[in-house]
Amino acid sequence: MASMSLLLAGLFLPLFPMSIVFNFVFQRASSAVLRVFIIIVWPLPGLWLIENSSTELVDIYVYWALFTSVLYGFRTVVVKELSVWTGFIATSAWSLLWVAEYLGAKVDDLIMHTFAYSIPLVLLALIVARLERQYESAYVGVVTGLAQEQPRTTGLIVVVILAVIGSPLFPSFFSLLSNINNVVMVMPSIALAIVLVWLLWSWSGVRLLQELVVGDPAVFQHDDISCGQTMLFCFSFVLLVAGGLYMAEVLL
Amino acid sequence: MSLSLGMKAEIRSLIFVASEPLPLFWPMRTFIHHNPLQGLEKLKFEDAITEGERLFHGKGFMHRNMYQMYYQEGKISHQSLTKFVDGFLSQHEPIAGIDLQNWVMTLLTKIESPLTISDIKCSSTLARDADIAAVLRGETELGSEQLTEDMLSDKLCASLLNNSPLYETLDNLFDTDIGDELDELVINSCLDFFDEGQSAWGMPNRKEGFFKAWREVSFRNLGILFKGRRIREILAVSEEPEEIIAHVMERLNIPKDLWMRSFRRELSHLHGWAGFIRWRSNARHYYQGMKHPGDLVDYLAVRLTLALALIQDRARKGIPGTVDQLHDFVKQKPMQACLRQQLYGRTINPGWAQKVEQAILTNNSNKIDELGMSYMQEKRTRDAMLLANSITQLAEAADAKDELERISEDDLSRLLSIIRDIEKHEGMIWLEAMEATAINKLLSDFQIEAPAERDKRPFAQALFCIDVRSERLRRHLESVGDYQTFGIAGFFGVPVSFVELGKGTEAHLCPVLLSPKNLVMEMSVNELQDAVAFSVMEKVVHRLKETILSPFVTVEAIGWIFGFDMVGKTLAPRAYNRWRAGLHEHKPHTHLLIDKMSRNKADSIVRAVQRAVIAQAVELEFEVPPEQIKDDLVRELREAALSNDFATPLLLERLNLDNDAARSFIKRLRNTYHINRHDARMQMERLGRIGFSLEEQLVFVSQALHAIGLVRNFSRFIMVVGHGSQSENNPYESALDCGACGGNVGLFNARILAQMANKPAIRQRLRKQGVDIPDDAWFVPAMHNTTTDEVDLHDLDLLPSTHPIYLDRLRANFIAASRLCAQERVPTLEFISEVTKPENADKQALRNAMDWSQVRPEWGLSRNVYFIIGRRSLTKTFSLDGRAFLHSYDYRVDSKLLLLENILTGPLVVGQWINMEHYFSTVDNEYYGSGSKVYHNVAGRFGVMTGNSSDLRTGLPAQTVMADGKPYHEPMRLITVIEAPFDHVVNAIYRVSSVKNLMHNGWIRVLIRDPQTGITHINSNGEWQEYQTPDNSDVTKEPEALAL
Repeated sequence: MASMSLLLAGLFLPLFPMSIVFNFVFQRASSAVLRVFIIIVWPLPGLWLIENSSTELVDIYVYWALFTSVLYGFRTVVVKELSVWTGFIATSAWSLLWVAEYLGAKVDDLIMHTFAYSIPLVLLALIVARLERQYESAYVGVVTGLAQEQPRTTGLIVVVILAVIGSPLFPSFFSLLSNINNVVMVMPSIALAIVLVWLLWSWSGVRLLQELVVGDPAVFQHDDISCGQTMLFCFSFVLLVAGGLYMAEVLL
Repeated sequence: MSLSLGMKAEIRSLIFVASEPLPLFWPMRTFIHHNPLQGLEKLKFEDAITEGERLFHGKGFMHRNMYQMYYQEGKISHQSLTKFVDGFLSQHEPIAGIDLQNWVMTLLTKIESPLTISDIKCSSTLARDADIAAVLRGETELGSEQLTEDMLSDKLCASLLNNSPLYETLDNLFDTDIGDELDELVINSCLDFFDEGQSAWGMPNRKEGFFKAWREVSFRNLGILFKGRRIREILAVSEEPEEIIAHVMERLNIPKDLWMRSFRRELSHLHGWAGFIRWRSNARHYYQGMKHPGDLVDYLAVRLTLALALIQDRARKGIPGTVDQLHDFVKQKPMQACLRQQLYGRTINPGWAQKVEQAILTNNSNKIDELGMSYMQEKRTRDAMLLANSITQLAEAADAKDELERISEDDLSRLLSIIRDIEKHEGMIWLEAMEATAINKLLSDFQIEAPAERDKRPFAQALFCIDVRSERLRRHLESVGDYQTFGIAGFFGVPVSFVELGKGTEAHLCPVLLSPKNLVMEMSVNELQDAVAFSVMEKVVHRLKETILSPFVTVEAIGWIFGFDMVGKTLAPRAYNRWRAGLHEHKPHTHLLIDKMSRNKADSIVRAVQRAVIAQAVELEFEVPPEQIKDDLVRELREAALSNDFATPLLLERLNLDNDAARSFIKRLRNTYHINRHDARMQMERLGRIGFSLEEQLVFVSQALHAIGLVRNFSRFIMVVGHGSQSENNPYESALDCGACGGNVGLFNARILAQMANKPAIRQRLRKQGVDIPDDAWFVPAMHNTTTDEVDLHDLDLLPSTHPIYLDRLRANFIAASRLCAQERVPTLEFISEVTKPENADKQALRNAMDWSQVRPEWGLSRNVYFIIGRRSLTKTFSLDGRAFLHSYDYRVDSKLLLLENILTGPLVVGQWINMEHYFSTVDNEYYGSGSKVYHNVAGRFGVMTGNSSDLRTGLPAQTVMADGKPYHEPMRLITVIEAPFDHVVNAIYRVSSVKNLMHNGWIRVLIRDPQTGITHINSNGEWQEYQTPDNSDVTKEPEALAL
């Protein structure tokens, strides 16, 4: 029964191949609100399940989670549709929650880790939804040269993607750092795998930005995001950084 | 592989022809303004732009919204635009019930973006006119005609395989990125080979030539081997570049009749590099070119080898590796090819991208065909709706909605055809309208009355370069005192090769169209001084920075010293740079060797050098103290080395050598120390180049004075003002210097001309030609710093004793003119909006010149538009705003047309290059210009690249032609006005074929203002027409010729 609950947790803190379910649902969700809701809510049952499981987490789950994280991290490198990329990154990031649990993180800390990954993804989902409304999809390479056409949106995308891929000062950075910090001396192979995931995220993030931001703008041009909305996003970034610093205080 | 000599020659000639449209690219040290489409000047201007777009992907006209901005600002008048629109519409049949002029004018002036841009740019719209008509009628179902697979494959084969290299097509169909990888490898190879001292370690075997040296390295270059694993196989085929080229073309199955086109396409891909190599291989006196030879055949061999290696590498994964295989793929899977082209060519509707990508990855033919058909149908509907909406918007803007509602399907089709046609040609319409407005403005300002004769000579006369930056200074100088100014090409008609004091290389101080025969050297008149300690330290630091290992230590040890530099240059550039300049040794007073030396004198110099070398050789080789090396021994050794005789009794006796040792030393003198007849002859030849004979000097002075019409009434001072610029941290510095001096400062030419004209012997001979320069007239060279507007007088130590008393007045007037000039110019540089006092402007300009973070030290020649050949009186009464090249010319002293021919051949052609460089750098700064300076890096000490790897940036940077993202330079063709009788000018133009062709093909606009009839003529499409201006009738005519 305990194993069943862990397997069920693998649906919400996605483990391959159960991760397919999350990505299927996420890709079918076309509205921004629904996507935001999924990103915030989806991992929570998983957290509850692994926290309340009566058995200890065995090594196999950690390696399985790391495999999933690396697999989806690798897949993000070739994906061009931003909504799909968001789903893959979410899968890769949430898999790392298994590692945090394995390393003995408390419930509060686990929730903190979860939101450290999810909140930037929420912001990304909102911007992606806006691009999809304008261009019908946010397929980088086809949607390109955004910097010339929509400088404010471009700035927001750059910061959000940096937040998602674990750049310094953002919460995801401190989450990854604390995991590595906790495991590097005892199980360096796990630390190495996390570093690999991190590297893959950075690679894919920068590749996306490169194809999305520079180049010739699209033939049909659209309006940039309003100054008010930009300010709201900027305020969110400030909160994220503040959250990151708070996490550094708590976790490191 | 072995090719016959004939085949090799054929390949070479194909490449030669293929390279013709490539613009030459001179090294940055002597930036030469050039027309990026110079190779296409044989075509009509508009056709060349279309061809340039195909070859270089650059746009030839600005976006419509920029022209609309000019229209709103009045820089394009409504009348001019209407005139050219009417001209366009006259070529089309009218449409009943449609006011075409209203539609077209509304389209051009009120609709920001072209309606049919997707048709024009993508040439892939599937919507037919009938579909658009159906949408306009409100129908949801479009025509039932479907695209068949055969139609698709034919369309694809036509669009994909005809013009592009194979790898470009593969990139478009398979997202392979070969093109980018290839460019990167080619750029790195070129950087390695053509480097002129930037790298600490040079490529080995460079003297063997580009391809051979590169080939040797490529066998061991892991970077190349990793990306193209088959490269060794290809390189093993031959050592000769022509054979490798033939091999690659055969392996790719490219038919031989398409080779030339393929070569041209390959060469135009990185046209900056190719243009540099093309120039370099033809520059006979370019030292680096002689030392490390490389031409376009080598370049193409390198590029094609790498291309084949990369293609073969990808072909292992199932991608077509030859043109035939690609044809087969398209024929067999047209729908897949079509979808691939849409997806990877980035032209797909974004909403379909993910679905299409997934379908392609599944490689399921049925699914792909099904999806493809749906996509095509959707695209067709979408294209039709987009265009229909745009047409509706246009009708609303033109207040002609009822006309659109009533229009029949046939008439709609004709209307669409007219819209497509005008959007294809609108650039030319806007351009001609803009030029017409500029011409009207100029002609309305012209002073058409004949100038009154002066009864008194002016205080001073000044010869300035024709450069547009001189116009402001001339105007202000004329306003502050009794000055008469003239415009002449900034090399003052004296083409010269110059060796500056302390420099070991010759600089050609003349337009690149000329090859100077004479050499002038600058010699110090002071005693030799030891180098100042600070300069020595600077040299040591540079050496340390440029070696392999020492930078690590240098940075640790003395890196902090550079902090001072940074703080000083950033916070107080003027004061800091002044202080730093004081640490360097100052350039001593110098004289120029402008007189040709006699044969005896040259011979004596050669002998003296030979004797000195022999004495040193004896001292070094036999450790004999100098006092024991007597003249008779040196004479004996010299004679032995120069003859075939080895008899040297004095050598045997005084140094106790045996015969063999003596013979060996004589041989060394001949071979190692170059004491032989051949080298002596070479030295004599070189010495023979130094200076000008008296006859040559007379010709140059006489020609310069006649060319500008200064043949009488000479002042006490005749200033010869060269110009140059001053800026910090600026690879484009030479672009701001004098173009007529080959991108160098014009001071030395000014000094040379002044020195010649001040010679009594020259003046005596000039008097015989009727040019009487009085004894109290003195030519004074001066230097106009165009960044600060300062003018420095030179060679004042040569001034006659009667003149210094007037110097204060002269200086004060020049300072006043400089400050007024700065006051007018500095606000245009954006960093300060208004300068209330001239002295403040002066300081601002100086700071600008010394600020190392300043990306725009001055605007240079930006906004140039007019080239006026005529007397100053024509333009003296109004400001030309620094936009005109002003060449003085008085037709009355040029009955044989020779002077006008010279002006047309040299200055006008250079002016056209400058104008076209600015034109294209403005209309498409990314492709024809060089983008933002901020990202530039110096490459190999001869060019700049964007980032660390790009094509050589050949044009002008954005900071030179753009302000706040909008054009500062107003791109127009050079409007040339010649003041002289109509027949006089026409005859001269038709004798200079290059100018005649430029005019006929529309690269310059030529107007003739006939002072005898008062009529202005304009050449339009090769035809001369009378140009109507409002005040044409009220003209003062003047007598035919000046009695000279």
